Amino acid sequence: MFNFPILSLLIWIPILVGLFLVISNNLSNKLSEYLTLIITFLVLLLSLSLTNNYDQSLSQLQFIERIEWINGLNIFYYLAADGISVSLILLTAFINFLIAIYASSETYKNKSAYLGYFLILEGLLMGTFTAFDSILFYIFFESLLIPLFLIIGIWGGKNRKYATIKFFLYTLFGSVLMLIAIIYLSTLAGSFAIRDFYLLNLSFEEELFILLAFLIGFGIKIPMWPVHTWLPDAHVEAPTSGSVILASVLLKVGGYGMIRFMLPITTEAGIFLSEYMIYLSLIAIIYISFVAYAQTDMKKLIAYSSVAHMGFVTLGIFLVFHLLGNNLNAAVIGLEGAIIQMISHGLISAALFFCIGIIYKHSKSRLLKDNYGVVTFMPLFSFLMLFFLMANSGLPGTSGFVGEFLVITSALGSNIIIGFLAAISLLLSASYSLKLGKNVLFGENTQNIQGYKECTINEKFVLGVLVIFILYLGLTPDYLFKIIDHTTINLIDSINLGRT
Amino acid sequence: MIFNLLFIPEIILSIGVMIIIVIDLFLQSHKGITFKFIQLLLLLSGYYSINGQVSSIYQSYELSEFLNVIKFILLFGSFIIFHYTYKHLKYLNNLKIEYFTISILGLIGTMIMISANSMLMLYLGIELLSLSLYALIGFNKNSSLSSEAAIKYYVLGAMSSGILLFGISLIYGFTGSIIYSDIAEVINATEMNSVEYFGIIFGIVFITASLCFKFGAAPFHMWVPDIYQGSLVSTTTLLSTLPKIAVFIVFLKLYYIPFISMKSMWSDILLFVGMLSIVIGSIFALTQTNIKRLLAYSAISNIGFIILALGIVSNEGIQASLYYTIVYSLTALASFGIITHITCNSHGIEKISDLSGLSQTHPYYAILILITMLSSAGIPPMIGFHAKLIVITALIDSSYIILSVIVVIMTVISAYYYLKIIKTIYFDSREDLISVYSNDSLILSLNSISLLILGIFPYYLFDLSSYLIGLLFAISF
Repeated sequence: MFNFPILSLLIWIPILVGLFLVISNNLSNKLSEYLTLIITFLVLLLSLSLTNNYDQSLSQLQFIERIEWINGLNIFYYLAADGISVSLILLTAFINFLIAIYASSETYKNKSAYLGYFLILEGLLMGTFTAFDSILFYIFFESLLIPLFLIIGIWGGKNRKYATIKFFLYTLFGSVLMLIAIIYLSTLAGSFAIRDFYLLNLSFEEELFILLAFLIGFGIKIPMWPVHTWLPDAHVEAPTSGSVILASVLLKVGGYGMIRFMLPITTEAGIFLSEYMIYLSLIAIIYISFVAYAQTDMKKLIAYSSVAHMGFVTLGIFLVFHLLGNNLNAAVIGLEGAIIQMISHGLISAALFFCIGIIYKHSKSRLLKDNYGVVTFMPLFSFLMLFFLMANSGLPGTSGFVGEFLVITSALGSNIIIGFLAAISLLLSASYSLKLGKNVLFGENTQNIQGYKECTINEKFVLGVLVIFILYLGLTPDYLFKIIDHTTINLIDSINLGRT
Repeated sequence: MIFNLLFIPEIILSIGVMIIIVIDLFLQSHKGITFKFIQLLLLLSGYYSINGQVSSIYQSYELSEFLNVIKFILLFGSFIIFHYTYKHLKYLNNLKIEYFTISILGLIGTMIMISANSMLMLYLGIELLSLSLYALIGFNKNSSLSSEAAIKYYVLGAMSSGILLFGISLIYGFTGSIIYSDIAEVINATEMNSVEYFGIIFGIVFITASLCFKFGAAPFHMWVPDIYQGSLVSTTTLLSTLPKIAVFIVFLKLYYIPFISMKSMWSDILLFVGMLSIVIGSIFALTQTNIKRLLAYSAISNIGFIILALGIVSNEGIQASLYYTIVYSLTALASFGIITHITCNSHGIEKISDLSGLSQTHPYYAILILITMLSSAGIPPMIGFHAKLIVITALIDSSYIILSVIVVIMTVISAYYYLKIIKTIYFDSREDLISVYSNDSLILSLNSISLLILGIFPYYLFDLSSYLIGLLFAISF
């Protein structure tokens, strides 16, 4: 039924067009905007058809493309997709389409290159989510840094040089340790295929070191407390679309890697360390929420809120270790919660960064004290932003609720205190979200700030579509559940079988 | 007549050099024509080297299929270097054909080095190479830095040649031969812990020290930054490619053929030298502001990778070191090549800050530097990543886990200064003039973009290096 290499198309169409846009310097703005819109729309259509053709009743890999790449080293060009990949591909394609719409109404110097880097980023993200050869995965994972580095560095704010280099070195440090773990595993398995690593019988010490390498690599990317400090810097300096793609898709690469590598490969060591990793996640959820509350910069506030929300993702993943053996159902719920939280946070954080970008465009300041009483000038926008803030604090009916609810349920299944602490965060996230809304949207306009204008049609479209999807996933999360259900259950089952 | 056919690439070059000197006398005002002749000479020599004969003369000069390919690589490399050099010298109004004739003599030196099958022939090659390098480094007569560099390299180089000769004489004294294959037999038969055994070890240590000096590996690296900074960029390009390839082949032929049964002795030395070079190259480069000094430290750390891979003593290690050498030479050619193409305020690029804002004035060159620097930093999908990957895989295969962790951490540290160059080009704004004095950048573009293309299709180089290693050991053992 499905004969043409859809995954390769998803990866290489945006990359090639992006390279063309970057190299062709004197392309007119209009032409590059249309080209970007068409390509992102095409990728969105392709990923929708991928989702439709994805057989949800099967748990094995689908759309497999496997060609020998470097035969001397046994490295394959091995692409495939399972439920988790499909859901993240859909998110990537969707967010990139919105970015293309949003960016087409903005002005940037050298716009074709700007849009080109985003297209390259999109293709590389698709590659990261579909690579099933560990070296191929690593290449995509690592190459992600290059376009983002340039996007933040060229089109970023005042302190961008510091932020970009910090971000690059931080993530590079994490990933090179991961590379060693991958190579070590491959020398034992005799191949670089990720699936072959699952079958290895590692000693406990080996597992422990490999787990630590993965934890550092993906923990920096996701990011976990205490290695999260690069994220607020990068967010603050990034241009709006850069922040959007960073928060909504790039952070998910860390969570995806944890599910793909840590859970099945280093199960025993994970069970041994699960308690400590859960503590780290809880610190991220609670402490970072307080940090977010104390911020005076809107973007930093949302950046810290992202760290706190990603704490739920790591909590959901590490709870699996904790629950293996005694409560498999709760483990499945935790993992599904983590995945749904990733998708939902992808939508909500994207929406919030778009909102902040729109406010910043008018007031030229991201500080809370410089932005007051937006509601009098931009009533529709204020309504939408308030909705996103509510979704961010986990309002039932929005997608933000589903993931957090599932993770908290799973936490209660393991330990009442962990569940209680995780649940506290609903309160905390409501407090900082509402603080932002209260100040910026409804605060009294004492300094008599003028110049806010209601959104343009492009911005209305972007925010409106996001509202629809956040509500859709919140009210009927079934669509997403169906995609990921068999994959997660199968994953947990195989991990459990591997232990016994 | 048969004798002639055997040496044909070397003979073409040697006779060609003399003809060029004569031609140049009559064509003083048409240097372009003379240069065309030089290029023709290299092409001709390259053609004959790839189709060369296979034989060995009196056991001391080897002509094998493996060496023919390496010679072709050397000639091909010099073709690119000469192309860059010609434009650079022309721009500096310092175009002298002598520069090329001296370079070709050095090239012949490298060819003798790699073909040598006896210690004395090796010494001859190294001396021919060094003598021409002394002259090339001091070529820029108006610069005091250049003269200082030339004298420094001359004094230190002479000392290292002395050490090499001392090592050779020790080996000769304890084995009774200077021919590689005879030495191998004697060493094989030597008993552990006998007097001869220790004598040979001393000989190997001295030879290693001298070769590491020629390689520019730590702790014999002190000359590298000064000489790179003092000489013309074109000389630096030559210095950082041809001699490195040749010394690498010498390492391969010496250590894996005559000295192979002493591997337990020299493997640790090479691992130590390799690690030290990587650490020193990565850390000392952090504070450099001169781009040539920075690239010099980067070269030291790259050399460290090659020596480290040689020190592993496994099939993967040898292959990794050859692969790394080819990749390193390509990258060095590209990075120095770009510097020869760009000027700032009508002088060559000296400081890193001279490059600031290049992306706004010359976005195409900025992309070329971006690719080159990312490749040097070992960021995928550039070829530099695969080179480092293969070395690290070879390390882990032989269970040097701790070493591989140190190596990757040093890679992260060295990524900082490559990023600093990218930052300067893309994120800093421009204060004064920057210009590119050549519109013809076809070869440079091919050179830089090949780093990306080969990174996406790395198996071509990988197959080439495994084929070459197969050739070397099919004939030698």
